[in-house]
Amino acid sequence: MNFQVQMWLQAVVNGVALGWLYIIMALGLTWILSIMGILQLAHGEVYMIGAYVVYYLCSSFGLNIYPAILISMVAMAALGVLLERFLFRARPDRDPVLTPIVVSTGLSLIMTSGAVAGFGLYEKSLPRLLYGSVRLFGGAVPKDRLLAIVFSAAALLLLFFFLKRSRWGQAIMASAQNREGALLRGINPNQMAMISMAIGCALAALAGVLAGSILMLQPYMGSQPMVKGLVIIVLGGLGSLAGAFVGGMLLGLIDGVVPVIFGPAAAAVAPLVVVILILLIRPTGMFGHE
Amino acid sequence: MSKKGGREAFALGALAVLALSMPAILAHNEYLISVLILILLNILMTSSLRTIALLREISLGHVGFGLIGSYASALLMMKGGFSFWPALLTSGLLSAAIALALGYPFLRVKGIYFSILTLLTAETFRLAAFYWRGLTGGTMGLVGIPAPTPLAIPLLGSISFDEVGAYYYLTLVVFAVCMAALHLIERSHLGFAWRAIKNGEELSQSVGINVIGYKVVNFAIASFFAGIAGSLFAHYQRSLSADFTSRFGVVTSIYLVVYMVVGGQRSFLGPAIGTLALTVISEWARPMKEYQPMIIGAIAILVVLFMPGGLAGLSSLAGRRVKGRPGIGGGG
Amino acid sequence: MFFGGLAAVSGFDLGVRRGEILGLIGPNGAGKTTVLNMIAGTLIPKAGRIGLEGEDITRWPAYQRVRKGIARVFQRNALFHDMTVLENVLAGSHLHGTHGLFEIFYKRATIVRQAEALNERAMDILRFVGLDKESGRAAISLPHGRQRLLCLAVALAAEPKLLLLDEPFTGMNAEEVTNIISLVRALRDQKGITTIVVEHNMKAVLDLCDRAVVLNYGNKMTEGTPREVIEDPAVIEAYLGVDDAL
Repeated sequence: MNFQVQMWLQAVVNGVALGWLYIIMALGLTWILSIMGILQLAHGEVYMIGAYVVYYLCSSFGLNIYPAILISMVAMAALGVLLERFLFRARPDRDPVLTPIVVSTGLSLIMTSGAVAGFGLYEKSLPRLLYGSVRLFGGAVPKDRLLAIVFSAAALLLLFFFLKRSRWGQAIMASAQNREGALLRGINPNQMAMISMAIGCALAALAGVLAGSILMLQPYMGSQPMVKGLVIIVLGGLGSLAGAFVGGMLLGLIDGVVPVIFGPAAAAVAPLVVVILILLIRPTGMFGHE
Repeated sequence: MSKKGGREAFALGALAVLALSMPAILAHNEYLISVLILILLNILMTSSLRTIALLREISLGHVGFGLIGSYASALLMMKGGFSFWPALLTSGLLSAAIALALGYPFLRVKGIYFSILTLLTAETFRLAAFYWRGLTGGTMGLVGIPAPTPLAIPLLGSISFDEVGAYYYLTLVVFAVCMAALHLIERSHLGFAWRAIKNGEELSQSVGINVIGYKVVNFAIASFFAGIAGSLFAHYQRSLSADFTSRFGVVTSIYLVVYMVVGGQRSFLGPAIGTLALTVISEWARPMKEYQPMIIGAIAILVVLFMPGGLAGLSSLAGRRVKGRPGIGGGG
Repeated sequence: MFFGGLAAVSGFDLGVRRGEILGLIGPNGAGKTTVLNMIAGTLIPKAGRIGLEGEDITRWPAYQRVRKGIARVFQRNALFHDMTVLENVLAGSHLHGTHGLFEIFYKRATIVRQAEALNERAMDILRFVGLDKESGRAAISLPHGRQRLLCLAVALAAEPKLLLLDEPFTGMNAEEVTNIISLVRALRDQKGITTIVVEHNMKAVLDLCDRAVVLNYGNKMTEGTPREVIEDPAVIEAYLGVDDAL
């Protein structure tokens, strides 16, 4: 009986932690998509590299994991700015939809094969965030999962305040909801693009590290979360914080419940069915704009 | 105009002769001939992808319909008692039918959503195939797919398609018919309506074009040919698997987009050029193992950033520089 | 024929007689383009009816209304920018001479003949508006005034019974305005085409329209002959109150 509880508890906590990570992924993606209009297909790879950066900082340089996380986020943010500046900036002779897709695709290929070449295919593990577990609901819950949830929630809250309270934040929200309108109000699109890219990549790095501390690191770890992030974007609608949150929770529920009741094949199909249904009712997603 | 037509006919003829003699040229090297078969199938996939791109929509899940075609054709022959040609046709039609059903919600929404949705759909198909043990053999994959039934030709005996060389010719014939069909469709009033829609949806509506209807039909046509390519693939490979690194993964869909863009999607032959060029480079870079995707990725980025017309656009680019006249964008 | 529809916020009804040229005027923001959108089918009214020759077309999508005979010229120069002048008109005549998907493959000769007939028709329309010499040029290379004529030609290609013109005279010089007026009159005289014109240029409205309807705040304010309406003090005040359009 106790073992059952333990198992379910573990599953639930894992599910919630992963759900939060997916939300963080989706947030990064949706900001980049709605502000820059770019489908950043290499987002999952930024997530992966962010995790590997922490791995090497900890194992080769002996850094404590917490400062390593911060360094990784800053590094990925910087990478994001460089990518925006040199690869993703729109030019008149470039197709605005197709070019970023191909560029981010090429980037993804380069990054994954670079990771395979540089880090090897064998799975690596990150030092745990926190050791030990905590007594909850009659079972033992590993502290690091809880901490991952806390970190993700904190990141979401920070982002929320940044967007609502600061000047940059307001400008970004305006850009996300209506690009043309924002341009007319004198908001510099290039600055907005750089900032959103930086934030998006930092978020991806955070998600990658947190996931890496729970699961293992391998070069292809970014694609699953990427797909989840995409589902959340479509469910929740572009450029919407609330949408990413609700969409993420909904997906977490689907991913958690459906395989148990209907089996893995149904679990694979369920998200798509839900997405199609929601899009039929609301073509812009649940909370989408435009 | 007839001079150009004459030149085109000559070029086509030369190409046909070349294609027919490839097995001999390659000294009947089985590996190389199978690469050729895969190139043909990829060109068909990429060309039908380009059909969707004629409406400025990018499908990131085109392999999903290839998957449908592959599994449908294999299962129809293995469990449904179909012979090859009906199975081929039916799987193409099945892919088209599914695209028709999904088309309405998919094409109503913003373009970027369409791309995301197609990616999700292909992944969903793949995962369903991966987990559905009863139908598709699940994680073990589907094995023992029969080759097309031997063709009996009067006077010449019968041709068995177990052997790679014969299968190459089979593929070549189907490939040629499909490409001709695609070309005809593009040049027809259907293709013209697509051009109009690409230029302006609201304007097209106001001249009486049922925009969503034409988009859905376009999607179905493209998926039909993907299904055909999938079927040909299944009976060549004789086994199918749907794990992440298989032909039906996201990576392949994305490769198709890369082939299309590198070749140049403004021209009908762009996909062919891109597929050929990148496959050759892939094969050449094969000994470099991990670095192979990196090279492809780098080429893709460079081409798309600095050569907007792709490789096919190079000739007109050169022409423009020489003549010094601004070109009028022709259907770009 | 009669229309009944609701514009923007409040009740509005409009009746149009076959063969008349009706002007729709009013200060900016009065809802004139909205009315046009509802007739064309770009907007579906929340309540009310739109009828064409006795048929209720309120719920019909835009492209279906074109087949019934409504054609529209947009306020901005909306053209197929990657196509030539001739191709633009051909796109407009899209409804005619279409065949099924599979017929593409075997009815080659019929298709060629149909294409030639469509070409001839398109050239006729271009001759009518005076653009036949430029049939091979890129549509966007035409100067503004002639682009307007092309927009008209594209609308005519659909063989409309009702033509909706949204501010056709914007950015035109006096000569171009006279030209368009004579074209619209010719369309009515030769083909019996009915026209609704939304316009700010009062002189053009005076010259062209048989009747004028004034819109203000989404409401029909008054109607009558152009001269009556323009000299109506209430109308003048409405214009001066909102902007100096006159």
